[in-house]
Amino acid sequence: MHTSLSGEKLFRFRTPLDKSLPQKGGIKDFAPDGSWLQAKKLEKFYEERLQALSEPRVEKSSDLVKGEWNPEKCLVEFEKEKGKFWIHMGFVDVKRKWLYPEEALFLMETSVLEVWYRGLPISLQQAYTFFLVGSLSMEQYQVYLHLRRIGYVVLRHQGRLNFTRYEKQLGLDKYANKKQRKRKQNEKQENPSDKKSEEQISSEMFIPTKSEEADTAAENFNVSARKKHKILIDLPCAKDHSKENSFRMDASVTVDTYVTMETNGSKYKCLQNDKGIDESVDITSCNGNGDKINESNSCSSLDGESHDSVNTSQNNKVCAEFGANRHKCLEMDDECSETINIAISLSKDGKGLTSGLIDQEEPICDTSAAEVKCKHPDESPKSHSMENFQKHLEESDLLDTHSGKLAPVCRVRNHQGWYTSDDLNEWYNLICYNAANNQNLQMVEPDNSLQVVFESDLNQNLHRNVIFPDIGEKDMLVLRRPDDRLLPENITLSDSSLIFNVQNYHKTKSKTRDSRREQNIPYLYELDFSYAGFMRSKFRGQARSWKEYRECVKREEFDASGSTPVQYLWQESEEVVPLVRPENAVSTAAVLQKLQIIQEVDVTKMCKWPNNKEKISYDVYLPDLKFKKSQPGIPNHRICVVRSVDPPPSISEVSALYGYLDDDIPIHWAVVDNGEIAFYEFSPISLPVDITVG
Amino acid sequence: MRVYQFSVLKMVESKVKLHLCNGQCFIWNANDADVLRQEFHCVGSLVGCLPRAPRQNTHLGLPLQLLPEETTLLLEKGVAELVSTADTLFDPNEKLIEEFKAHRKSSYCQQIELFRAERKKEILQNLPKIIEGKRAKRQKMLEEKHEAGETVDKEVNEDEEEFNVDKITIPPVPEHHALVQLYTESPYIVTGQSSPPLWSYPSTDQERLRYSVFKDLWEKGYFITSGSKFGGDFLVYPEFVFSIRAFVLMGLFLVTSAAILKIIHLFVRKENQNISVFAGVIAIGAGL
Repeated sequence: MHTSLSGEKLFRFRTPLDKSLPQKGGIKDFAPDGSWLQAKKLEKFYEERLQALSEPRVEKSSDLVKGEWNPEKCLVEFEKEKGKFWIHMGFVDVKRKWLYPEEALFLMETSVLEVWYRGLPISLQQAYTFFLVGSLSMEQYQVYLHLRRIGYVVLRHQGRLNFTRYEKQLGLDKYANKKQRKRKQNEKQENPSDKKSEEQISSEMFIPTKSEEADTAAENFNVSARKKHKILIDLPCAKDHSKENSFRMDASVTVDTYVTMETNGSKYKCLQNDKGIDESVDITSCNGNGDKINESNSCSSLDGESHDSVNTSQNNKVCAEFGANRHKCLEMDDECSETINIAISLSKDGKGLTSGLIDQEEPICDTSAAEVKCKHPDESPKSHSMENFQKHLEESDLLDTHSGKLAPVCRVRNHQGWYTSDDLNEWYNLICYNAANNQNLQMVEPDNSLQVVFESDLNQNLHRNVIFPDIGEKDMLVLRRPDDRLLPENITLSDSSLIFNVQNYHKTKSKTRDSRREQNIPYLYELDFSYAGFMRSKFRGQARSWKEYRECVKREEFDASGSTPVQYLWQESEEVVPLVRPENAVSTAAVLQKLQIIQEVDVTKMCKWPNNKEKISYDVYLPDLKFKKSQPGIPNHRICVVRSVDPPPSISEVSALYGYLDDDIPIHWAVVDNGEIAFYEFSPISLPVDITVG
Repeated sequence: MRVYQFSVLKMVESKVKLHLCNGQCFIWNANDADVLRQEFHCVGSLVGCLPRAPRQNTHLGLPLQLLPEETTLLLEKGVAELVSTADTLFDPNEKLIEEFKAHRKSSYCQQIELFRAERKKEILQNLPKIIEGKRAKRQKMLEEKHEAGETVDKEVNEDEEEFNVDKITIPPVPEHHALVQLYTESPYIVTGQSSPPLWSYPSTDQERLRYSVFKDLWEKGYFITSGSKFGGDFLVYPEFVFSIRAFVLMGLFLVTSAAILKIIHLFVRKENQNISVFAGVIAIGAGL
């Protein structure tokens, strides 16, 4: 029972109270004095203490915030806030303001909030009983109280910051608001081990206005490792085969469309792909006649199964995204192929075909591509005959020699649109026919160059062409001439350059570090009595396998360490052996390495299986008036609350936690022991090494 | 059946009430805390905010959290009793709410009365000043009127100078300006049958060891607090003082080979802190 103060007594609290705090700790005496003075001091101390403790919390009713306790949600709801606590406490949900139970308790203790429940106010004692249930334990609340009292901003742990290292480097993580972070968290949860999602996320960061569709499209990307060859066909005599004619393979995709192609006055219609239409992108283009070429390119997800070159390009499509999202494709397509551009121009008189390889555009990914210079028909008219042209195509595996047709999996593209292989074959036949008949081929407008993309399944033939020669026990070697496509431009290999002198190679190779050292410190190696035995760095024994080698080395070591006057110390016991032996004294570094029995590990980075088993309770921020709940930024500390009876976390748990969170925020373990709180931290330190030289 | 009663009665001599919350014992009454400290040299640790200075960590206020050993001891000695806390928040009935409202209202009225009385007192005290001020104001007003050109009756009406204290109006104070108390300890009394909660400390061997040592020292009259901040089990103070420098750090452990390392550790701590270390080594076995 206690006294609930009457109005009279409350009235006394109108005047500001005596705010002096009782003396901490009591009397600073060391020995019992028995004196009256000491007793008096003690009495006074107890009196003050009682007075301070029994003081009630009296506030003007209008100064208090009124809240209502909601036991289902375990939250306190209130309407009007007073003072500054709303800056860093509480949250809004469906237009109502809520406080977490620990926040509410803190505000009650500091006489700011009055919590009601069904018509009656809750006392602090009741609040302790009813608020601290479930996930909020007494220890957690005590830590919260402790930190809040000294002014820190303490929020419940909000998960890890899903930022890449690059973003952290740039400082972008400071500007992410809560919504973005939540979205990232959700995404990360969906694809926990998907590396691509990180790239997606990072690309999302830079392109914040990306639409939802693009995201789904990105997930459908699955480019196969098909080689694509492009043939840039320049029908008229264009003045320069500058890069503008050579199309960039922005979207390394195959798209079948319904487009009409105007070549030589005839119109072709292309097939539309029916399979798996996922997304349609519009391409509107006009041909020379002014007719609108049909749009609706359709794309589908790549299944990458069929490798038959017989299969038409109707299979294995990849999403194409033109226009605004082109750059996206650039990122996603990381397995594009090599491309070779062959410019085939038909001369005006139709005498022959000039062919050449024009500049190959850089592939988007890292696969190497041969670059061959463009040969302009006007500059150096290198007219080839039809056979040569065919040979060209054959060599690049574009022409099927048996059927005499172009490889069926190909597409033709110009700035107007896409065409299928069937049309190309027709065109090719046309060329052949015209060439055969030596007839004039009609010219098409200069900007009407076509880009033909052939898909064939060369399956990395080029890479297989690189052969590493066997130089064991040989003196001279003649190397095979590599594929022209692998060479950089302007390089012509003479025959003499194909001869490889193995002996010279060995000689130059032996100038290694050891030999350099031998040159530098010759005296060491010449000292017969002091160092000769074990300073030899080269293994002089004979071994035919690793096992034998190891045995040999052991034997040598044993021989070397045989005769020392203190040998008896370790010969009998097997447990105690010398840490450093004289033969280890090759250099200071070697000795130090032997002495370092405690290995330095960075706890925060060593874990391979990051997880979040040790639950972090709070994110702590430094007190700041500019703090915003919607954009809290990076926390300064993280707190993990444990009891003193719990075992301390093991190294694996600590490193797992650090690895999971993956940022440089220190984690403190708050150990609570019946009201006493102590903070501990596991932080990596490195032992100092005094000697660094040598 | 439980009956909740809203009470303004004074405290009655009774056992110290221990409230169990989350497995730990708290004392919410300041008098109880005082009694425990003065008569039963049982210290505990304060964990709440001090009402007069809530935003600092040096001086804390109620509740007082007791060590489990302290709780067991007090229960054993019959000094304290465990109070059951309701499992769920009680549903206040109409009667209680009415009572509470009435209490608030009466408190408000009382405050208003007192406020008025004080105000009157203030006015009486400052009456000469007030009269002076009023006169000066009147003068000023007359002068302004004179300058403005109005004919003024210069004769001051003496009656107006009379001052009736009672006539001074005190503006009404709305209820929300009244002072209210935020209850620390629950003002609602629980009457009726309710079984006290179970207290099952000590239960393991380690705990029994701790308790027996604690009890022994307590019976010798020492003040004992938790020693986890210093790495030991207890801090033991002689009874007369509470200075920081004069405590003994205690470490308890069962006899094992690992105990040797612990002893060494404690002695090392001793070097830094100028305290004497008492290493209590107690053998395992029956009859602890």
